[in-house]
Amino acid sequence: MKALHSIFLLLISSLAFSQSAPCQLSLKGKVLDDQGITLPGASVIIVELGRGTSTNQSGEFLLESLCENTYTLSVSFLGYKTLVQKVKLKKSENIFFQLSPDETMLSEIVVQDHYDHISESQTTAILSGSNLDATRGKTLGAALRSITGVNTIQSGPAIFKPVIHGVHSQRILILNNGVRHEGQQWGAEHAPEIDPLLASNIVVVKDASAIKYGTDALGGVVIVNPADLPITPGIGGTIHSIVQSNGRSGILAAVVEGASEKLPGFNWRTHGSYKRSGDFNTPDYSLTNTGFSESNFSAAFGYHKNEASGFEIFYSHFGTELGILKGSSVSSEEDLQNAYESPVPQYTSNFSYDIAAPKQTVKHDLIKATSHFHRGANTYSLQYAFQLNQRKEFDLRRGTLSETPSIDLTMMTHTLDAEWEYEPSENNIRCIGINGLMQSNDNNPGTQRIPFIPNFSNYSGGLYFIQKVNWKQWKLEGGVRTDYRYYTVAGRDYLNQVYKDQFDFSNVSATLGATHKVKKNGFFTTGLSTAWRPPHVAELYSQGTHQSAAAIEFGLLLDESTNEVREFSTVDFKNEKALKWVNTYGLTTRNTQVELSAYVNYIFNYLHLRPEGITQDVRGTYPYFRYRQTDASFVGVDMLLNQTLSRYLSARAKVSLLAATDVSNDYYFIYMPSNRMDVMMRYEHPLQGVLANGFIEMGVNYVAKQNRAPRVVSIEEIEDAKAQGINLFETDNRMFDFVEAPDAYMLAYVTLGSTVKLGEKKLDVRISCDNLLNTSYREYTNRLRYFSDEVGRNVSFSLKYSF
Amino acid sequence: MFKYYNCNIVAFKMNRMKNPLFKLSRLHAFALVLIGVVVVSCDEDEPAKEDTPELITKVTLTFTPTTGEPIMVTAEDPDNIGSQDIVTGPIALKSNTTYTLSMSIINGLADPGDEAYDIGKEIEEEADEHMFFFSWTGGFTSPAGDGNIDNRSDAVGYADEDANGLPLGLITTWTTSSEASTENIFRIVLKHQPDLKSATSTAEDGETDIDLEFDLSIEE
Repeated sequence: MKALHSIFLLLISSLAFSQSAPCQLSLKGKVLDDQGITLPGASVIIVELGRGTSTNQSGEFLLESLCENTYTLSVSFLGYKTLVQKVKLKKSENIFFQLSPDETMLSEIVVQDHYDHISESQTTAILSGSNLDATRGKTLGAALRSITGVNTIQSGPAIFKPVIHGVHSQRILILNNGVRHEGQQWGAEHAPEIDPLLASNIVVVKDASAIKYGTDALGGVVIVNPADLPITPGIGGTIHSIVQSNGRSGILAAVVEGASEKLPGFNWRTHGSYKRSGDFNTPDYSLTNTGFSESNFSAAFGYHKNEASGFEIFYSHFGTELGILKGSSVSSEEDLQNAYESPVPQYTSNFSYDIAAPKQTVKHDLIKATSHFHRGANTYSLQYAFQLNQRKEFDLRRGTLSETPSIDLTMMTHTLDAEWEYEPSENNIRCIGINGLMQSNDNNPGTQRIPFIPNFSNYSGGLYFIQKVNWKQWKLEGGVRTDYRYYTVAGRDYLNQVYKDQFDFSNVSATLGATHKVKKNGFFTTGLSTAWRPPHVAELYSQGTHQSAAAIEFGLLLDESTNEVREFSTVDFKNEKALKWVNTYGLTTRNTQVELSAYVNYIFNYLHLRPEGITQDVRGTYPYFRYRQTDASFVGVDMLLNQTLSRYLSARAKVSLLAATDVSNDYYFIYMPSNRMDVMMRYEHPLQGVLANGFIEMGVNYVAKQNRAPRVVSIEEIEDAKAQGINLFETDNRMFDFVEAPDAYMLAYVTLGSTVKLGEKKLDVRISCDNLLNTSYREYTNRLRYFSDEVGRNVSFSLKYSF
Repeated sequence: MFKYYNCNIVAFKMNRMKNPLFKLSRLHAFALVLIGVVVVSCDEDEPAKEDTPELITKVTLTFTPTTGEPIMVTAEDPDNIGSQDIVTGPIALKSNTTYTLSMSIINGLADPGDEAYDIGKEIEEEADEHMFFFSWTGGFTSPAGDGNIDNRSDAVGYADEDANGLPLGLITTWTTSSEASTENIFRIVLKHQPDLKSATSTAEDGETDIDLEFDLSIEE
């Protein structure tokens, strides 16, 4: 694609924008790799002008007729990471660019445009290039696991929710394509409704970074960025196909993009993907009813008049039908015990592509329009987005009711974001912005069940200010934000009687960050941030059980003895607030890359479910859980080491450690990710001829047992106590789990790949094998660990053709 | 004025998918939020009232002796999905008597005229995917043993069957022992076993629809 671009550039450079008389400057330079070897044929593009050139046999290039201005140069070469650098041109200059191979993660420089929300004084991790390619075919949550400090809460082999530094669900903000993602995120089995195949990079901000994005980012932010629309005329694209042995799945994805030659400034992209999987399997048995079928589509259209202004519209559709392990469908605690004691989940049958209840169908549509323009030192941007989220959950129900969704919700969200950025100099940038959100969430009639959550509307607004200053070796950034949210709620209580309420929240959050350059190759970043979030309606009003959970959940507003829904104003509720301090030290030398982050996240009034007692209905005895508030602390360390051992051989180690504590009760939380480590060796050879960049990597992934897990109260103990008239949780409502945390496990993996050059086109081939030794294991953060093992060996074969 | 806008939103909600004005009014309200005006709200529309055919709030056991008055015992859930326990009445049977046990299973949230009200009828209709299991710690001479919850092949006096000739258990027969006893536990489990019910399926297969324990005493 990039090579193609450079050819186009060569062809059209003679037609390039005419320059006025004083633009007589030139930029000469040379492109080298990190070993100092010249790179002939690398493309050098001036982003603002949409023109560029390629390097000659000596790796040199020359760009002429340039004005006295600041230009963004994009230097790219196949197999190397694209380097984007701003050059302030006052006189003709000679410049060197050094490209590093497209492998190491953190030295990557992200292409920044007006909507890129990454700040330099924050601790971030980026998944892009071949690291992102290695995750192609996985869901967003699963892909994010390759970032240190990021884990998942899982509900089976295909449902992953990202966890950043131990914090998840409502506390992770996802920015999809510049839009605050709004879906049903309150359940553990509610994965983000996003197709990661469209992303060209995924950034994880590990600070509690609410300033720019709104409330809720207590744990961090996941930013899913598609590539910028192409700027050089022509049509290009990729076709990607992946087949996997486990689940016998297939994925077909295509991207076609282009920029108009006749109408300069117009560009577009469309993307479609289809994924189909049957039942996954563990080393010993099939995971019946875990298949899925997913189809996604998106289209983008842009017009960029010049560097000063642009307009873009974007539409995407995400649709999935997703089975949930049939054996996890339990309706009483006794069933849960039977399920846990059974070595093979009940209902297990042979492999099939069928998807039946319990299952979910989810659709998410997004339309957005963005525009921006520069005037002098000012940049103005405006974005409107509409999201339609439709979720249906089907449970195993009596008779034909299995065909009827037991949860059926439609959520509509409008967001409007406006921002003014003022950049009088590179060392002084300030930004003021405003966000508005209007949302409605409605239960669609016909579920034949009392709704688990009520209907509600949410009106939110926020205002923020950010100031960035560069001072000597320091980059400083501070921001402050104020938010307001108003809810109106109408639902039905346990007697099917209507309740209604309306209430509001407001708060202020702030952030302060600094990055200090340490000597030549190092940096130190420290960030102190606060964030808050209003409670989600589900946390206030949940009532009953949902999708195969052998526990009853009660929202904060439900009266403990009468079950009646209390008015919000009568309840002692405090907003959840976080104070997070992250420190990162990084060092990049010729052969070594080190990154070490340590963090403390203290969350006040942490809203979570805790066991409160046992209740009995005609189906049997259940523990019930109530949303309660406590103070929580999350302390941890993320480490990354990349070491070049020889010209072709490198090693990488990643470690993430976490200790989460319920401070008020001096106890542990359930489902917290345990400590883990990943060690990998990579051999890469720049092959000659049609093959380029052959590589093989092998690694092991070690996950420790979670020793900071709450006590075990077995179902038998609950039943026995109940028989004697004792409520085990009345005097001791500490967190508990039905079974002990699973043992530590270690998994091996291997990947090999190469690029086949077909003229200016290329074909990436990749074969990988996860869980190479077909190890049986269970993961603590997977809610289905009570019922089944994790998936066994998976061989994946991927072909990506770029044209 | 503000109220007017927001009421509009609510008014349009009923058929928002069809109403082209809906988006417009939203945009108006949006502007209000943006300029920091506190939106004065009208009511949110509540979810439509659902039938709740799966809820069981009351199970009535009727022990009909060959001669004499039937004995009725109930298990009633005061708050269905709420946190309060079910209340089960004690069973007191006469010694040396043969009873026919029939069960009525009711969803008290539905109107008595509704289809959703009588769950027992529905179970009968779907007999091929339901089965009752029983256990007891004493009190009966027939069937012998302690019931089939722990062991499917143990004896229970099923008096009905599904289309496949497999027992259902809505109607069963029992003969009490000759001597008096107290504090026996009589347990009833109803399993929902779609595609699972067979001549060997047990009380551990499928999903539990009913699991109740009663105090059983036998009087002279």
